[in-house]
Amino acid sequence: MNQSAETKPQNNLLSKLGPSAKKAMLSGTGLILLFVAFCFIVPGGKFFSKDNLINITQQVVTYSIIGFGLTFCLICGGTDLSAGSSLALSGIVIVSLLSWGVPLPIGIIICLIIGILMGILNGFSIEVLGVVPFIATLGTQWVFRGLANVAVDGKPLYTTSIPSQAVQDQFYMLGGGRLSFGLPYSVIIMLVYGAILFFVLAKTRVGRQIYACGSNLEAAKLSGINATRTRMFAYCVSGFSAAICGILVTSRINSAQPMAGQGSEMEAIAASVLGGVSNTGGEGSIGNTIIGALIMGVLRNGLNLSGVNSYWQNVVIGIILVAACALEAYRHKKLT
Amino acid sequence: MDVQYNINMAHLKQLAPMGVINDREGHSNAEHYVDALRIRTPGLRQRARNLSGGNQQKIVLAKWLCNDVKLLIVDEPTRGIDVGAKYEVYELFNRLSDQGVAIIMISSELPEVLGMSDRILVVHEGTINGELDAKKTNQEEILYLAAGYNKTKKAQ
Repeated sequence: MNQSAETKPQNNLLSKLGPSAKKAMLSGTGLILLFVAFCFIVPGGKFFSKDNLINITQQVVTYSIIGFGLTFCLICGGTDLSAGSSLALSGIVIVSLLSWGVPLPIGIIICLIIGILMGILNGFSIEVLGVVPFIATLGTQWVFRGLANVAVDGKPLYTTSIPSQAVQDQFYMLGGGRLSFGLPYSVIIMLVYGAILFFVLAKTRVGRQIYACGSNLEAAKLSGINATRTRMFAYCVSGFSAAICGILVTSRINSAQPMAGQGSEMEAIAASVLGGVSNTGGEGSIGNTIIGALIMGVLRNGLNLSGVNSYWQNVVIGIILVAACALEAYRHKKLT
Repeated sequence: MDVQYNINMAHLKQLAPMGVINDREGHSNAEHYVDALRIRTPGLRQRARNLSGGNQQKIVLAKWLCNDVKLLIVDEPTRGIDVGAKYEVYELFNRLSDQGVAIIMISSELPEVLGMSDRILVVHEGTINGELDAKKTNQEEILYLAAGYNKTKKAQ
């Protein structure tokens, strides 16, 4: 009754958007600026050519698929450092299975199930054993990487070990195949998978519960949400995404490398954060992750074409990451 | 989490029978409770943590009222909120009990206890130490039981 000042209805468009949509608009603007900038910086219009754009999308596939899984983990307040190792392990699993003569669809299904199992292992050590997510997944990162190395004795496993040539070709089509005008299948897989996860996160019960757990765990538990099961689900999505990515990467480079995907979980986290997924949980969406992954892809590719060497690229990307977060923090401080 | 998500959080099961949330129903539900409880917020998309304590408290109430409760157990419902919001919470409880909802209110504020309740059960050291009729009692009687003074006399 005595607090009349705060009720001022705002009916403009901005107030109807959620915080993650606002962040998506900001980072989307950044992406467009970067894109336009590289169009001018890179000599000879090489950047804005069809081949290069397709090249970028192919690079973005890795960041974004792992990023999708990590988005789930980050939103529910956790993290998953084991994604890169899960990627390598699932790549080795699929090639081994195929070389033992397992049919391709069954091999893929088994590989994806193993991805989910890796997620369950992460979830188990975090939720049941009570280890902090950062440490638990750091541990499983080494476990999975170690297992991948043990399985193949540290040497890469080539798809030429698959007995049937037809299966070899089919398997290569997954990650390396292209539509007639040059768009890789893996991009389509990424988009479909992203659309499904977007729907899960935005429109379903479990998605809403993931937001609830990340934004205030205590309140979520008191509202009758089974936090253990919800977060377990998030880690399973992360393991599953890593397995998909493992299959795609292995297929594209025609061999399963035990050291594949090293550090890709960090790049995926960077991509999610650049896109506007909150690192402390409760905020973000799949759209944010795609934008972030595009920023990373455009940056790497653009810097490459401008002739910046790869060590300096890391310096630049690191600075941009910190600067973006600092800008966000500054904006946040000014608002409140 | 914004106001709308928060209000709908405890009854997601009814909103999402097949696991997919009916957003339109959720929106109208949240709107209804923001009006009914006079939750002061700039919009349904406002983050709940940026609201004042009283309004947050009302959101928690709205969360459970969605479920058509028959019995409401509230623990210190007015702790840490300002006088205006307190008054509204009291009004709301009166309205609910008129509608036939049973309310068990746990509180340590004597004026609140005396003003709000029909029956008062005083707890001392984990057990109920006496039942009083709110119409006929006063603060001294409640404190007498709450301090366990009647027990010490028996021991002598």
